[in-house]
Amino acid sequence: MDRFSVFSSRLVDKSENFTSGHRACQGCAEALAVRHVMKALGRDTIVAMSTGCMEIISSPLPLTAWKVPWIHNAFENSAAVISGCEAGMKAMMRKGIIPQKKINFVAMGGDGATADIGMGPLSGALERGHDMVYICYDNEAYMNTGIQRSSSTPFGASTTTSPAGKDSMGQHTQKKNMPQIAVAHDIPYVATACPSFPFDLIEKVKKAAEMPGAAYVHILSVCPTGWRIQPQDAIKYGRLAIDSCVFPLYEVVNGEYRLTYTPYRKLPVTEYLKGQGRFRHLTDKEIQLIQDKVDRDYQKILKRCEEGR
Amino acid sequence: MENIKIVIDGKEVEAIRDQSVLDVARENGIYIPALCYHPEVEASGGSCRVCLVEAHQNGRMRLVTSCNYPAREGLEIKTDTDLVRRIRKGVVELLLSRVPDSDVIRELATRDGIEDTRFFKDEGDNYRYKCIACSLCTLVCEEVVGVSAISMLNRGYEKEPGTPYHKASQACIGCGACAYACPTQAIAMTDEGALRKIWGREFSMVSCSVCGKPYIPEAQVDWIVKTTGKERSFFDKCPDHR
Repeated sequence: MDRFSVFSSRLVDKSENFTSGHRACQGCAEALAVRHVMKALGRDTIVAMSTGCMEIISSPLPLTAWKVPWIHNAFENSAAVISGCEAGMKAMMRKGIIPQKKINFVAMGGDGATADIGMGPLSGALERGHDMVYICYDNEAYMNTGIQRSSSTPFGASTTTSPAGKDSMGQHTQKKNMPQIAVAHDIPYVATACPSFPFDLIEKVKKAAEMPGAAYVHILSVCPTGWRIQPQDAIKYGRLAIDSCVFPLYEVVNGEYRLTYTPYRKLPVTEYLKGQGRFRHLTDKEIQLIQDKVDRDYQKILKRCEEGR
Repeated sequence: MENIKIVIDGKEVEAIRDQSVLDVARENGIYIPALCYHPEVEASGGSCRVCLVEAHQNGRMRLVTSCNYPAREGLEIKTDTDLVRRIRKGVVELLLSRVPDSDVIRELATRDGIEDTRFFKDEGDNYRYKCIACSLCTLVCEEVVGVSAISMLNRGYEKEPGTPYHKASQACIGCGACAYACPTQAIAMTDEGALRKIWGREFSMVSCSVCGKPYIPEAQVDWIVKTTGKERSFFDKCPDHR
């Protein structure tokens, strides 16, 4: 879907359910991702959102950027809340209190809310098979509280709680592979997406909402503030992450893998790491470690995609 | 711009005079299925017949396609009556008869509780894959892109979109807007390396002078340069390296 450009973009839905005027940093690709997601979902949507950047920037009392019913949750329970919403609405429709209607139930959270704190409720909601979509906006650290490391922070990244210095090379553990954890729940739909590929993202979110049962979409959201890059480069780094296979774009429909974007030429990870302030301390040896890991993971995904064919 | 009030399913809603009923319904969260209508394409709508509703006006009732029916003061719309459901069932079954393999139509059918079509299934010689001949692609090509490379060919049962005489069109710019707009994903567009294939023509792509990635068909660059007066050198580099 990334092949579409110029003229096709005029055909994208013009209504905005996540409006402008919110307080995201300059160049925030996460806010862009939310905007595209809301374009894909449309107005018949209920959103439960965990605490995190997107909640902070979009709902400073008494203002709101949302045009849909929106519930703010604690870090851990957005998946639990949305499964309650889904069950409640289903019961009300059955009893005839509200008319039968297709409503999208969507839980959203950052990587901290998803991979660290909300993991239990998320796992429960996926396992119970509610007709819901969970969307993780992964900016690879707790950005709104001041760039603390999360379990989604990649190996080698410098954050305020995994600082790089004489005795440390930044984050020394590997990034938690959330999409694979979601796949392991045997849910109908899992996908990875990135706002640098908007058509692909919109298509995947639409698919996730249409599929009956639980769906999980993992969106890599470049954070210029936390990644220490220029705001105007946010989209570019999203593309670099995908072209260097650090974050491959794929979808898993009922257990069958499909690569949705194949880089024209696989870039070395240095292209992606270079220019990011959080990686600038890395030595060649550490970059080689990252490259090996990326190659290994990408081969795994490729192999799974081939098996599915 | 005159603000008026119309009634949809017993609910009074605000609308702008002459706005399409489907748009008003969607703004107010009332579900009406539609395939061939696109809000950004002015001439679209009216051919798939899936969005039929009852329009009560001046003491009369008519079945109309909500996508191109104008909202007027005193109009009352009913979207979920037995008549609408019965007629729509026939429409969807006929669509299913034309394109038995389309996921979109199948889903629409399931939603209305239709399991299979009563009619002849179009398989074998007349097999058209997924196209429902709604002509949205041709309207997009004309209105949004402005090249009119494709149009509806033939008449009646054999009507389908295509380039003149099914020959590779010199007017086509390979932008793929038709493939994007198609409600049933019937238009095939494949990218292989620096070649894009669509409507039986191969397009060579412009490669970025920095990263070497092919990113836009040459014909599309020609068209943009011709219509906007943008300098050609602007397209030497891909959006990442400008």
